[in-house]
Amino acid sequence: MTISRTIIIVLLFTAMAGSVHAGDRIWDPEPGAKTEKQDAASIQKLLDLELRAKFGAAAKSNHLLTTQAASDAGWGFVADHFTEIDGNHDGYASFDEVQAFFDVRSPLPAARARAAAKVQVVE
Amino acid sequence: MNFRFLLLFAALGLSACNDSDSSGSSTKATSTFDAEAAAAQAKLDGLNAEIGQKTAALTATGAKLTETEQADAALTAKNRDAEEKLAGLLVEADAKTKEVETAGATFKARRDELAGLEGPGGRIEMLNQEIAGLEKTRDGLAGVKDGVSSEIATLKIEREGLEKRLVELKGVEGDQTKPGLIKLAGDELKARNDELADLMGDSKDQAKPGKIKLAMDALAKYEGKDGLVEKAKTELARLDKLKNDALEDTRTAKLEAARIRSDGLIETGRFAEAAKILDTAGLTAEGASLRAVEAFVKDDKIIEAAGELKKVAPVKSVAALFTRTGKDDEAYKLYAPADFKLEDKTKYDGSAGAQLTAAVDEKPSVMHHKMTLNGKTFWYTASAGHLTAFAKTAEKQAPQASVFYTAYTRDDLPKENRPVTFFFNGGPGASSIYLHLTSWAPKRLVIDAPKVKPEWADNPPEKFDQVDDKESLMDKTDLVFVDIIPGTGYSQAIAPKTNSSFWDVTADVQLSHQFIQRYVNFNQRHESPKYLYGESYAGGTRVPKLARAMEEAGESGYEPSPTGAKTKILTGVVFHSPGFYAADKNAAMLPTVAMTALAIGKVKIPATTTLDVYAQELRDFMTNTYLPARTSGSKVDVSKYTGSSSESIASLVKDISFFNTYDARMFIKRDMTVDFSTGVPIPTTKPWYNIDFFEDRAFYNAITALLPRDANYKATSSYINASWNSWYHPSAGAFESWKGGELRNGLPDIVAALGMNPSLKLLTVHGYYDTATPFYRTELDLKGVEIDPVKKTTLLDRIPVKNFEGGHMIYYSEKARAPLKRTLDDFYDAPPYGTGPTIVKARDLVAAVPVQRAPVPAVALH
Repeated sequence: MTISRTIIIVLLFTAMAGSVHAGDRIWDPEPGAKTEKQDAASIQKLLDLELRAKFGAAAKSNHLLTTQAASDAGWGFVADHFTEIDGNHDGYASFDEVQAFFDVRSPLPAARARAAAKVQVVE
Repeated sequence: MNFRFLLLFAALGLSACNDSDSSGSSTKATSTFDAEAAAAQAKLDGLNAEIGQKTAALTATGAKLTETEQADAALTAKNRDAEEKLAGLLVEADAKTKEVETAGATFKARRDELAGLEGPGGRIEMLNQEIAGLEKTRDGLAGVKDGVSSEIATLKIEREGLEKRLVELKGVEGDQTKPGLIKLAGDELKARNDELADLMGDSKDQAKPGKIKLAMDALAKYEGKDGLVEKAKTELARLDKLKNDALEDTRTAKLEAARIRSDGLIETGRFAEAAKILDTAGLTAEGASLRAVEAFVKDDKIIEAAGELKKVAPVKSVAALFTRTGKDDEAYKLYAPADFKLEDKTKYDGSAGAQLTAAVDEKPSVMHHKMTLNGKTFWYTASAGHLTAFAKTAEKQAPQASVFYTAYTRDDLPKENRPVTFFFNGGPGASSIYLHLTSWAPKRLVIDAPKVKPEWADNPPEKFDQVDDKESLMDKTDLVFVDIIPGTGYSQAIAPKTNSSFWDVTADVQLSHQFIQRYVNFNQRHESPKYLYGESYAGGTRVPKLARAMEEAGESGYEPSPTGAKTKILTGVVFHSPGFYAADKNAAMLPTVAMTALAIGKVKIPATTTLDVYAQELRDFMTNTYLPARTSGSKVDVSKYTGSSSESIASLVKDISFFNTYDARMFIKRDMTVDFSTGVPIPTTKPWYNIDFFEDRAFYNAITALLPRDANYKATSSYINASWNSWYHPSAGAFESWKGGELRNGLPDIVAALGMNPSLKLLTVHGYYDTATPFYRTELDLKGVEIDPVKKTTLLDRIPVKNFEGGHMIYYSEKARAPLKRTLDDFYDAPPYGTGPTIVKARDLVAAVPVQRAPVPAVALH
């Protein structure tokens, strides 16, 4: 779209510096939209959702993950640590077991607290 | 029954080699290669010790061998005795048997004789009857004269004789002196039988096995399976093998020692001395080769010398030969692929729906160069071309896009420790041209921001000067500038995908990951530490997500490493002018405005106050005054920092200027007038191009010349700087249609990556004058993510933010280059996060124990 030079000047004159419009090299997909603050809580929520999605995609309809399934899905990190994740060593990892594994080593305190709360007695 | 035994004695006449020349102190030979020499020395000493130990073991073995031999000889003698004894006994048995037979026959004859004489029907009885008959006859005849008949008398005499014989045979009962011949013969028979039984044994009585069996048993002790002789032979063979193994080990160790010494000499060019050592060790063929090398070198025939040396020495020694003789270009050729001019006639199309029918050939162009950096001269390879990004499932590989890249690598450095860094510009929609031409490559263009040449008011620059890059990162890492977006550079999607298939946050990250995997597999960089360098959109979105994707995938997607070592996944990430999109950009802009105001002289600070100190003052103002006021809606006086009541960049200059979003110090002034119909000030003239992208034309010209001239790559297509609408590229492109905006914030991905690899090195760098991604916003964004509620640490503590005297492309500013380079040097040199050098207390330091050389005695084994 063409913007008349007058309007540009007005924008420059009054608007905050750096207001973004199409053509700038820094992308702002929703110019002027309310910014979404990212803090530990919102990040944790997002990561939980993403983990569930990734687990679902890898485990498929089984709802249980095997080393092979993780490998096939390209989830090398989980495949490599599978024996640590699969606490009862039955060859299957549940979502809870996978999440616990990630929680324990997360930089975010909420995740670590959640892992600590899940203390399980190993038979 | 004959028993022959052959005892095989191993030819123990070998005398052990004397290890008298184990002078492990070859340190003076290899002094020029410190670390390697020390290692070789240590190895040599170790080997010498081993040689000594082996020799001692050999000695022990030899002694034991001697003992065993002596025991063996004794056994042999005993064996012989037993054999002889047995033979004798057997002969005796033979004779005894015959005697028994004889005695038996005699006995039988006597018995028969007796039977013939005695009893009814016996001769005596017959004679009695006959005599009685004849006497009767005699008496009947009456007329016996003299009472004696001569016939009767004869018969009586015979009878007397026979009766006497009977007594002789039968003996006299009760008279021990007259046992009778029969009894005597019987006794004799019994005696012989007993003797025979003595020899042959009683099969019914276990306790009487007989002398022969005993002798056989005694013999069996010596011979047969599990016999002493067999055991002695086995033991002898075992000791012999031990001795041979020890000799072999000694020989191998000596060979290895010889090699280590000769390797050190070869590397320093002392070929004749090395030849001598190899000859002594028996490697005469190699010794001859080395002598040939020495001869070539003396004749100054270096190429021939190298050809010969290649046969017997490692590559680094051949390289050292070339380097010593001033042929460092030849040295480099030993490691790098050969120069290769690539003419790429493919027609690349940047439009959204464009696609290649097949992947572009992956063989890249190659050109060798020499550069001097910080006083050190070295060669490097410039290489440009395409690699195919593959989407892989367990079942198949599908090509996605041919991705164009330019790489600068030092191929003579061992890959294991040589980092490789992948550079991405942002947008999204940019090629890598901005980083490639002006940041850390061996050569760069001089922009000299914030200088704006007067003629730029009317026209953008056509060219910038190219110089050797004194701040090049080639001393720290190999560089790969990636045109990751299909439709930029010479990159393009492969059917059935189109360019716009990848104009999406997630697809772009996947493609980036696939490219890196292909690059690593193709160039065998598995063991090299890997770094990501992302600018702008790449810093805030692409590279955080890419780092996470690389950690999540681990080694999957990589072919096995050629050496079998583990593939290094990711070592460090640089976020250059990132946009994390979390905090309010407008609220965070004031510090950038203030710094710009300072830079263009609108405000002043004391000469002793550094920019960093002033920046801290600005931060304090933001925290304590500005942000709280903004939240509560009250006004704040910022004139102290901006030189006016306004907070905006535009208000910094009285005239209306068209300033560069990316470096607010750069602007083009225009004379203003007033539009009398609206009362709004308008410029008398306006620049016909956007100063934001002032460099695009010059960059296009530069890359078009650079790729053929400096990298041997020539395309017939035009290089696409960026896929977006600008004065230079007036049509919408990737930027305008990029999908996935809801995922633009890379902070969650950084958190996820840290969870998988807590020792990841991270660094953020910003320019003070950048209004596109203001530095203070990143600080707020990182501070907003708490990682320890007790210590109150945030991501800002984990990821340092360093600010420099520059804009969005910090490296455009001459003043910022050296400090930024130093920061990056420290970053590359740093150990993994959380590890680091420990301070060793002095008393914990132990002086190295000198290595003891084992004494090597001369031992003769026989």
